[in-house]
Amino acid sequence: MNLLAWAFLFPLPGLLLTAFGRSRHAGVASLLGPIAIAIAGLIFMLSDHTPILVQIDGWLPVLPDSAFLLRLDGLAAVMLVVVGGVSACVYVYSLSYMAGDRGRRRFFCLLDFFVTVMTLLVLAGNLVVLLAGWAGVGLASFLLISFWREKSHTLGAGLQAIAANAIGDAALLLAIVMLPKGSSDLTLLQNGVPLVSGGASTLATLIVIAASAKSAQGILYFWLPSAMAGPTPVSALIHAATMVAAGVYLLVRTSPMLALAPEVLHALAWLGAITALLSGLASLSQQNYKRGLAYSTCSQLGYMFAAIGFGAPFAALFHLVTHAAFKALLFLCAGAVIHAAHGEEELPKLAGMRKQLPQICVLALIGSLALCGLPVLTAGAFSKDLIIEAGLSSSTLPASLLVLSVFLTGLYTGRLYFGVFGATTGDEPQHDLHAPDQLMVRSMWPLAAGAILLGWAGMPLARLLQNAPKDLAIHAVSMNGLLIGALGMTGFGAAFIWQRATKGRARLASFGIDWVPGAAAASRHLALAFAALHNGRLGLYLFTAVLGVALILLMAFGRMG
Amino acid sequence: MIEPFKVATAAGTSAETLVLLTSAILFSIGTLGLLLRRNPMAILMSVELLLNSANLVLVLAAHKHGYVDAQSAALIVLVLGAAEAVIGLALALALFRNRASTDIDEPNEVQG
Amino acid sequence: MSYFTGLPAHLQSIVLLTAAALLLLAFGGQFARSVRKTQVLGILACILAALPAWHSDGLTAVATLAPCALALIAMLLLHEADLEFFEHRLDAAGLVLLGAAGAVALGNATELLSLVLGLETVSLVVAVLCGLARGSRGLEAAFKFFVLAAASLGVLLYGTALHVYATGSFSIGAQPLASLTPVYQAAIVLLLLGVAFELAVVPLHFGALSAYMTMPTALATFATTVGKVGALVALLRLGSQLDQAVAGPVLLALGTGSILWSLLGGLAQTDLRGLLAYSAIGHAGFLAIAVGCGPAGKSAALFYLVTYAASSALTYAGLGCRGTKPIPLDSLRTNPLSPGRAIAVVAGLLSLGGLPPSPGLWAKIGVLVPAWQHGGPLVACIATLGGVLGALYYLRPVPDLLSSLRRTEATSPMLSIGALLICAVLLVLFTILPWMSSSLLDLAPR
Repeated sequence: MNLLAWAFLFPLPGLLLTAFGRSRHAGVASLLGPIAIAIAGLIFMLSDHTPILVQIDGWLPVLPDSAFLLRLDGLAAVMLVVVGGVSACVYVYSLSYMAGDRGRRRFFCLLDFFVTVMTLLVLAGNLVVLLAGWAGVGLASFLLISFWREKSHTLGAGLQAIAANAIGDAALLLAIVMLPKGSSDLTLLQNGVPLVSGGASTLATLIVIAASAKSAQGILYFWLPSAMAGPTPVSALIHAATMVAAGVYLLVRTSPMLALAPEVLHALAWLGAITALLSGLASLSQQNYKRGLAYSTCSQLGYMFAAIGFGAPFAALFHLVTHAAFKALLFLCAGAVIHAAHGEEELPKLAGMRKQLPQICVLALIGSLALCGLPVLTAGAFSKDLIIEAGLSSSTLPASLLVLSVFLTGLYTGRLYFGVFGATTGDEPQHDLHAPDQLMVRSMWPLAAGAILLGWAGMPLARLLQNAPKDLAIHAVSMNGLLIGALGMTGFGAAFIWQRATKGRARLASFGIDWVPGAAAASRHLALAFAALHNGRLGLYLFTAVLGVALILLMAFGRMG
Repeated sequence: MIEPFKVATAAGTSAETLVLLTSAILFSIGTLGLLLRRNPMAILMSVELLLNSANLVLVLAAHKHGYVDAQSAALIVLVLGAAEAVIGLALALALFRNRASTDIDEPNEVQG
Repeated sequence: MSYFTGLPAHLQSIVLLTAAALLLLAFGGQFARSVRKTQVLGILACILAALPAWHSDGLTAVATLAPCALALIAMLLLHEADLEFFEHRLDAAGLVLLGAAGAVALGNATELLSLVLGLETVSLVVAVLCGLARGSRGLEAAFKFFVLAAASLGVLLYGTALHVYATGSFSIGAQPLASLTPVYQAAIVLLLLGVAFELAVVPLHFGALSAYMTMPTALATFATTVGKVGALVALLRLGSQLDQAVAGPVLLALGTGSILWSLLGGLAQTDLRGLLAYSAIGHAGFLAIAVGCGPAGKSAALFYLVTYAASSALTYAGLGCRGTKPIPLDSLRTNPLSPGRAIAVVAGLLSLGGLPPSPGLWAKIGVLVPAWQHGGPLVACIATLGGVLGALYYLRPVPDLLSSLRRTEATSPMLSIGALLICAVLLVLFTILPWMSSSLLDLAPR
């Protein structure tokens, strides 16, 4: 059984085979990894749920907590199944999607690397190991966003992701650094032992900053829409289902510790609710199909953050699982459409796909309805409702923002769906389509099944996690649940009318102030100013050096008194 | 460096503080030379001043503590200074041989 | 193993290295006409010089073995060194051995005179190596490095002289006369600044920056790292004898300044060579912070040093074939490296940037822990942010390097492959088994 805790090594054979194997079937061997990981998670779920620990003491002697610690428990097993399952689908999809790409071998190697570090993140038993995975997924994300280097803006988009991730990494690093000896163990954090001399709130704040950088919350949202420059399977796997959910995973892991800092939890609820609302609005103003979906991801992650803020980590995890299925499905559908239209991503140019891609149309409808939360029939309804119920019973104001965003969710989902698959008005450009092959379509059906059925997994999930709320009821069939579902469907219907009225060009004017270009320009000017000091003039060098030495002498003598 | 100065003003000028002061002034002249001069030769000479000011203190220390090693160290410093001058002059010569001016700010290809 | 009984291990290494260097410099033309023969002789000298220190304690082992290892890698890559005149490779080999001897002397110095001599040897060797490079840029950088090195030697010597005046002794750790404590403390600060030049921290970094930017890539690791090895161990020895209240803040200020400066300067770079030069400054900053934390930072500093040396060696070895020409970041796709070299450069850059899977991350955390405890939150926060945001420039060339991986016809010489393999094996070891590297070097805190 101990082997299961080493699941992060499972993709390595596939990686080696893909890297050095015959190029005609590059990528097929890689499929082994995710399947093995998902099976590892399933085996644990079917066993007696005793956590598996792997501990190598004295592994990193320069640290106070020097052990290498892996931990496979219920939470990790759920994540393993999610990561393994979604990536298996995405791998199969990519076999077809990337078939003609020259960098196919590299693509699968990078995906394997991502799955490895993501699994390491999930299985980490202490913060140092978690950080290795945490920074690793950031790196993998960067490499995959800038995968198509021949496109001009991919490197910039990747660097944006790195900039945001770096803030998160820094917060996590500081959290590790400030923890006293013997306390970076995640189980300790999980049990909520008060650890830090300065109170739990500093630690909680750092963890929240780290999580919001990874999950694109608050002002750190900016990198996720830009990350859509990468290939679409990457957007589905990394930027919708797994990596961006790592922030939520970390918060769920440490939620007992967060509970010691109620003011941080409260702020977290607001952060999530406001992000959910604003990115829902932002999605309405997007011209680009994938960017529209990306803002939707921000919005849904906002729900999960708010759930943790409400003190309902189980609801957050549940929504993470269902969201992984239906959002990955939506992205893969988007990929199929974009692939069919030879890389076109602008909404008005994609209109009228229903006739040409009937299967994709059905799959996208399943995904969209799950996102809107069609009650009983789709998974999204169950999890989203659980979050809102939790919010209404603890802090009403953020929860009401979430209710408002349910309508927005319906609206933006409908706008995207009817914008692409809506009725043709006759004046769309005629596509010379490159229809998706059967492999591509088949890889999406498991996700569609998940988007429909996972809602019923709530009870078994709660049993698996043991620390889930005792009075967990499946609310989707309750009065509130039906009302919320109806609200979402109203939005979806409104979008239909809106798209029809505007002939498929429904779009909100973009709003808000984008602080990122300003900050980037400012840092570039500062950097150039510093580099300009190294201008080749020896006189300036001598002057600066003497000045610096004089300052340091002054400081030193000042200290001597 | 501040303390001996106080001693000097308070308790009259002793030989020891005079030597220390001289060395400090020499060191400052060397530093100023580095900052103000533009000729590579003058720069090298300023560096020699720095070394010699240190030598002065070394000899003073030998005298104060009756420590002969410090005096021989002063000799080693002289040799070091000579070695430095050799390499410095060689580099300066190679660098400025084909240039019209001998301004140290002039060769500035290496930037960034 | 010992060649001369009664002589300390590091002195035996110094004698061997110096003898080999003199042999090459004085009589090289007589018996080593080809680069290959020079390389073999140099490699032999490095290995033989490393043997006596094999079983010594932590500081001595690092201060002796690391320069030998760096010289060894420089020797393996010597045939790729892009010098103005082909025959100068022989002199370069001699200089490398001499520089290694200087670094060993610097790192093992227990009294100030050998510290001064070691430091001066390393500085002069780096200056001359830089001057031997092809083109006028190398000469220019060599002159600048030389002037700044000479000025800092002046500071170091003045500090030494004041130290002798205050204590009546050259040995590190001698106690000052009671009336002369201020002079003693001034001496210590001057000594720290003098040694910090060799570490290449802000504001003493301009010369080093110019030199690193123009150095032939094959010799660049040696030039950027060998001085740091010697200076770091010397600072650790100095630091253990010093008043932390004075020495600590000075080093922490130098360190944080370097990290910030290198971050900003590095972001502006469009040349891989400049990027790596600024990176060297930033890493020096981390080393200075680790030393500034006093005894608590000792093992972290040494671990950081060895991982940095290995990562930098791997990167530069991968770029070895690029000589002294600039390497614009956007040229890596049109003018790709061979796959093995590209992978080596990527691995090296990741480790320099502290990204997994690489030991750079472990080393950074190792330094940040004492920085938080002894340097305070401000230092720790600046170092953390500087460290992680550095990824913004380390990663810029990586997609290009990866997307240009093609099987090429060009084969690398065996010796270059050997150098790459040594660095790569070390890096993998440090990544997976960080405890092993530290127990080998006896770094673990007791």
